[in-house]
Amino acid sequence: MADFIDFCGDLVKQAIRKGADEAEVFLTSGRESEVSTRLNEIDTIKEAATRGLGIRVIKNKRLGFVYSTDFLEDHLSQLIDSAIELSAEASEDEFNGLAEPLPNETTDLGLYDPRIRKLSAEAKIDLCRRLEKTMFAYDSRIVNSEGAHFLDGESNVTIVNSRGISDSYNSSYCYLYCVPVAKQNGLLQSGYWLSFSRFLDRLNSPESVAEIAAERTIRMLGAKVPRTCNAPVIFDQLTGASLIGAVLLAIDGDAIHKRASFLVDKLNQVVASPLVNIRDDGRLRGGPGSAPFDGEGSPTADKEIITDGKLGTYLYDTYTAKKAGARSTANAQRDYSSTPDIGGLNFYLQKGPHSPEEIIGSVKHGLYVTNLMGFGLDAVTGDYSRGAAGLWIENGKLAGPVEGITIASNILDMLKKIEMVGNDLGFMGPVASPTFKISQMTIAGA
Amino acid sequence: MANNVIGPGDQAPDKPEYIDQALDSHRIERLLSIALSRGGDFAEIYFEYSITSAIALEENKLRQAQTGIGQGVGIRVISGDKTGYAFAESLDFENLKSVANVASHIAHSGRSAGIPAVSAAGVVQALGEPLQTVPSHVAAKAKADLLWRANQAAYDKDSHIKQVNASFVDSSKFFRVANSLGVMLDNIEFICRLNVGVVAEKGNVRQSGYHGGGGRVDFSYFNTLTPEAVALEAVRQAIVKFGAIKARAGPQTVVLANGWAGVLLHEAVGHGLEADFNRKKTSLYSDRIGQKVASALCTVIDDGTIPYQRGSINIDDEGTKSTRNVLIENGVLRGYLCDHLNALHLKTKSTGSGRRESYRHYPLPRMTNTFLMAGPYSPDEIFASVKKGFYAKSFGGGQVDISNGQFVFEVTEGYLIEDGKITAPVKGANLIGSGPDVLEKVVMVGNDLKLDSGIGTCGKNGQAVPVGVGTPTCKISQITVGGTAIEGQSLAEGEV
Repeated sequence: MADFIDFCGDLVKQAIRKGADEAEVFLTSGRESEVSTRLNEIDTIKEAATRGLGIRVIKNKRLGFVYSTDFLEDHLSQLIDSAIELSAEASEDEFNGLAEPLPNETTDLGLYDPRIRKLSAEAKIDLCRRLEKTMFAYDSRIVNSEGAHFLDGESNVTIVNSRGISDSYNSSYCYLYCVPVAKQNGLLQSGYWLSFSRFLDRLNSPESVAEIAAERTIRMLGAKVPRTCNAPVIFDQLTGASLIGAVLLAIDGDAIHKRASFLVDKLNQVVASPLVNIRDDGRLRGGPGSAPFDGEGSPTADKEIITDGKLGTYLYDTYTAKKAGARSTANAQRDYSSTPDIGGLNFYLQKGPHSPEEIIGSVKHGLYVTNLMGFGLDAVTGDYSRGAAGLWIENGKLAGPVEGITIASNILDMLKKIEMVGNDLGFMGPVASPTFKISQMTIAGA
Repeated sequence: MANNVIGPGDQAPDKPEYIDQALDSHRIERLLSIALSRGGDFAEIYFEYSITSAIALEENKLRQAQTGIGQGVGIRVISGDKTGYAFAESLDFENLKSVANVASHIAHSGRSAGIPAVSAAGVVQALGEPLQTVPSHVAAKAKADLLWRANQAAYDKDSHIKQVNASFVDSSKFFRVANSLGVMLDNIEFICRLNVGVVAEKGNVRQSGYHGGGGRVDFSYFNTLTPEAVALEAVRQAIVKFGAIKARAGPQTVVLANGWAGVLLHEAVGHGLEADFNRKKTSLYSDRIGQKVASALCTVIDDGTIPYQRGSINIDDEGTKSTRNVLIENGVLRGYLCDHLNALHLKTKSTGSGRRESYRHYPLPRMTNTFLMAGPYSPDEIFASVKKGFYAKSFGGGQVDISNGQFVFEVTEGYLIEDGKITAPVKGANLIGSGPDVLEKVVMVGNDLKLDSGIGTCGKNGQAVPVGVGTPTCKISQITVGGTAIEGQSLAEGEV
């Protein structure tokens, strides 16, 4: 992708020539495709080649930013003028500055599979039909569908800045999911399951994905509202990942600096049970969140975030690191239309020794939560309250579906009450978790 | 404010001049005929040119000023219930022809609807009086002034305020939509929003507050909704939480405040009435038109024609004029929100509800401004009728499951109601229920209908669009409140 590097490099030079002290161009370009079937008929075929670029300039310690999807030379030249003019509107900030080039290992992270783009629309439609066929065959109560979907794409990310960073990488992805709708006694339930991979041959089979989706839907039929109580709550892979995502938000170096996080002033302190080990690994081979460098061009790494319950680091980009007197952890994340925010790479709770069955078996009365709804996290206090649905556990066995409930606690309390961690870690997205058990939460129902 | 307006020549035009050559009626006819070359019932070209600007203040500094251009063309072909869609950013005509060709592959019949001649673009009339001072045309300095004023007001109000984050975001969106029915329209819409977030700290306890407002308004709107007022509301929300008690978990009588609490209707019924779910019969409201789905006190409207409101649209993203749609009338389901595709299938007309986030997406049936009509009671009468209950004053976001109707939304400011009086503030509450069940339990509706201040964004299938919501004060006889406090109950007694 030398073309893009040269193209971005020329824009950086132009910005400097026009008076910027520092300049950076971040460009993404690629294609995306989506195919879906519903009730065995083709529903949607979407295909696009897409691109965009963002230009950050710093002049007199002031920051201006512009982006565009229009790459005409004259228009980009006007845009650079705008960026420099806009920088004059911003305040002087001594911490403004772009990333410095650092040596970066050029190991293959397994992010690009050239076979994905060769997959024909017919082959994708066939995968979708197999998803729906399996899910309808699973149980006669599955009577409808929000469709079977196959999405894929590939992109090139290029970054060039005036301090000497000039880098580029390609990645690809594909995923499939289906949404069965089941009916019993006139009432509907829907569910879903998915598989994600950067390589076509590592995607789970449509049959295995559809069976899980069907099972997750069927088992919710006849859901009741349980009585309000305090009880243990087991999070599965999907709902667990959402809770681990809340930890990710709380260690954002920008939120920490603004004291807008429940993990302020907690560095090197115990914030979770000793069973909790969380990593952020930008170099996981084939990982959904893997990348050789972050949104500013800094080389990514594998980091211990929480080790045996102790918080080891916050996450920074170049700007927030300077403010905190720390080094960037290469967690700048962005697309072309924004300046960097802080985000995770492959951010996950490490697996523990227990099978999900053992964890369920350890609960006398409690909730196995498989679906979370709505918002309900106060990022500053850690107060947590979410809509939930799942399966009730009686004497170590799944006893029946429940819905119409909320689960509530404070995240710091929840992290300390994690008393079993499962061995079933799997990456369905960049934030991942195995099954785990929290010894007590408040469940509001009838 | 006139001195803040950038003169012609400085400001990029809302409509790019080159579009009249790049996508004139001849080229559009050519693209439509390529799109329908393999058959199909309908083809559409959507060109968009959006300019979005933002300026943000944090830690007593204007952190950055930015602007961006989103330009692209999306081409759609409908064949029966099937959709083919392709888009690209480049306006190069050879490139657009190949985009049309990609979209055409959805159809196989070989029989296509004929294409009438497309006339020159009609220009859509904006709702209400034209804006005198379009926020997108105002210099960054004037917007920065609003932020500085909000910042000052927040710090001056309370010494516990430790952080103030304020931002002003605005955009202009020009689109040209043309289709195989011979329609070709140009539309320009403006939108803006002022946001203020604060963090307060007492000892080692921290609390946050947020408020914002805007819409498709004139810049002078911020003389009425002043940055000081927005900031003080954010401060008030943060400070009140210091004294808050834990929310009591379980079913309770709930009074909803007027305004933004209308998000309950958006979640509880609005999404379930979008026509795509009802064409597919995956909504619990499928096939229920004419049936009773709510208490007789409930009349729910979706109205995209209210001038200057955030959710309003001159025309939808398919070129259909926006309308006022009665969804539920005195408790009886009257209609669904339809876009073109679903209207064809359901043999009805589009309700002007086909909306999309950008040229990168095909339209879906979506809400605009959704609200509950006012009833007979004063808010005082409503509170006085509650012996023990929960007052939900301000909200975060919500979500709904279309199939079973379960919805949830977050209460960011709540209070106990005791003997008809609003008493202690409550933190960490959520409301959960099923749409039809909760709407059946609406037992009192106030006379104080209010729309929200212009902060709502709705997400569906990965597409975000601006929406409005509204409600009068109303009383729900019972809804489950989520929280951490349990009254008179010991551990682990729960059973199904």
